[in-house]
Amino acid sequence: MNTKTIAMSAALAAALAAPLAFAQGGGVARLKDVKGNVLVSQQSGLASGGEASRLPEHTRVITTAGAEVIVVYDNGCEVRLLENQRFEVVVDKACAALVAESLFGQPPVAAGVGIAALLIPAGGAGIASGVAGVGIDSTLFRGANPTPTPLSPN
Amino acid sequence: MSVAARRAAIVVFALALVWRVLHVNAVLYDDNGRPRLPAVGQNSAAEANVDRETLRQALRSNPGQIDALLMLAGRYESSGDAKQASRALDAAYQLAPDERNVLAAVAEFQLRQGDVARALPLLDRLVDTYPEMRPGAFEILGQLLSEGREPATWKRILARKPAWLGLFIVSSCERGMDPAILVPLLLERTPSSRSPTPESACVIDRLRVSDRWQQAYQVWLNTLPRERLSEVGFVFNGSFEFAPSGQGFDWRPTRALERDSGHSVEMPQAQGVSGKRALRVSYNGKRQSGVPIAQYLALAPGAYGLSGLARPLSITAGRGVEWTLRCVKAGTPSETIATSERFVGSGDWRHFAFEIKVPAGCPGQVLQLEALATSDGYAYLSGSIWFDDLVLRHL
Repeated sequence: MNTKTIAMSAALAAALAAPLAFAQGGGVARLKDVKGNVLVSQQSGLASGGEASRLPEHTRVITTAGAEVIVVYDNGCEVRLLENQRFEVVVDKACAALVAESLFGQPPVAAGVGIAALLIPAGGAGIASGVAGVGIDSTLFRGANPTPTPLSPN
Repeated sequence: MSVAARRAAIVVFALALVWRVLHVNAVLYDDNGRPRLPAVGQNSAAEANVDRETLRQALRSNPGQIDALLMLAGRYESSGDAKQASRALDAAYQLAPDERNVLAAVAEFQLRQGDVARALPLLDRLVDTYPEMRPGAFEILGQLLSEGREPATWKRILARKPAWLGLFIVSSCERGMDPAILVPLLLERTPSSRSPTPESACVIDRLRVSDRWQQAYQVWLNTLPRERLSEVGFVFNGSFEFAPSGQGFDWRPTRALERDSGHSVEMPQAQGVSGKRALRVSYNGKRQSGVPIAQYLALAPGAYGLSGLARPLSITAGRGVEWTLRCVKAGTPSETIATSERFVGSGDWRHFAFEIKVPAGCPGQVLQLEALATSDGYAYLSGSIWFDDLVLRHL
């Protein structure tokens, strides 16, 4: 193999490796076990999130009705989202906190906002009981997974 | 007693009986032969002035007189004898379980007795079978739903996906029920339809007007068909390739007639654009009223850039038009966050862009095409303008 060939091979390898490097290095987490319509925020709005989609920090992951997904951080932390939840990928929190937020929700604009918390008006105990009373199996109204199973190893 | 006298007595008795029956029927039925029956919220028959003995006699002559049973139940209940009232209603229900007034009367009775679990399925069947009963019954159902009564019964009713559910949501929403209570019901419907419906429009709008923008946006996402979810931009359908639904966070073209608004909106096929279609707004030269097209956005605070293509054609007789982004509070557009350049005159397709800074405390916005007013406060415009490929990006 002459020098020219080696140089061309190196250039080709670099060209091929660049997207891979971007794909691997362009995020801090990925999606796993995508079921239904899962949306991830991008520069110009929301787009469908597919299996193994890479997620940069501050990406919002939104599940629609009937959807489920697991957000897998590169450090091994796994956060399961059920239907109608939204979760912001952040790295400055402990995995347990992220899992808890996905399960029990937080006030809007915080990471891991459970839609249940969003849809049940603050202080609306009667309304909340009315909503829960409908008894539909939806995370929107249960508030969280009734039998939480933290997936995180952390 | 002679035979003649005995015959006369029988005739008199028969006449008396006939009179009784006719008298009862006159009370039970109107001049058109329709029964004067209780409706939900109206105990007209139960309040009819017929004494118990007359009703009992009518039932002895015809035990199948449902109306008499209902009236008798009303008499018993009003005198505090709920047990006898219940027996009379049970008898009516045994005879005619699908009859409108039986369902209504039994359901009302059960509600008055506090037995919501028994009343709910009856109300379900009532509104399912008799659409004319919906206005009153929907109000009762809405009240029960708001109070969170009998969740298991509700669940069973919803599991069979009743046909009246959509109308119930609209009715309750328009009456002002908290939209959050209606969302579970709406989501029960949307997975199958996955399309904008009057009920989703009402619930989303009421969430939005009450400044619950994230909830509104989430519910709206659930109404989009799968193929439309592949790319939900900050500006939805900025390519104008799809007909706008006019709901939620989609484009909302004016519904006013051109002669009233001074403009018209189309998304026709166009030359020289990406895709096949573009937005065209035509102005008729008269005073402009309202906004030709708008879209609600739910942008998080931060910096964004909006870009697009524009092609004005003879935009004259005024100061032109511009895209404006305003904060929306309690359903009303308020302060301006950003505006595009002003579009006037004529020209070929050209690129335009402007920056937007969404401040904190502005969870919802509206992007709309506004006509610039002259010094007298009015806007007069003629000509037309095309737009395509509106894209909003996070900077």
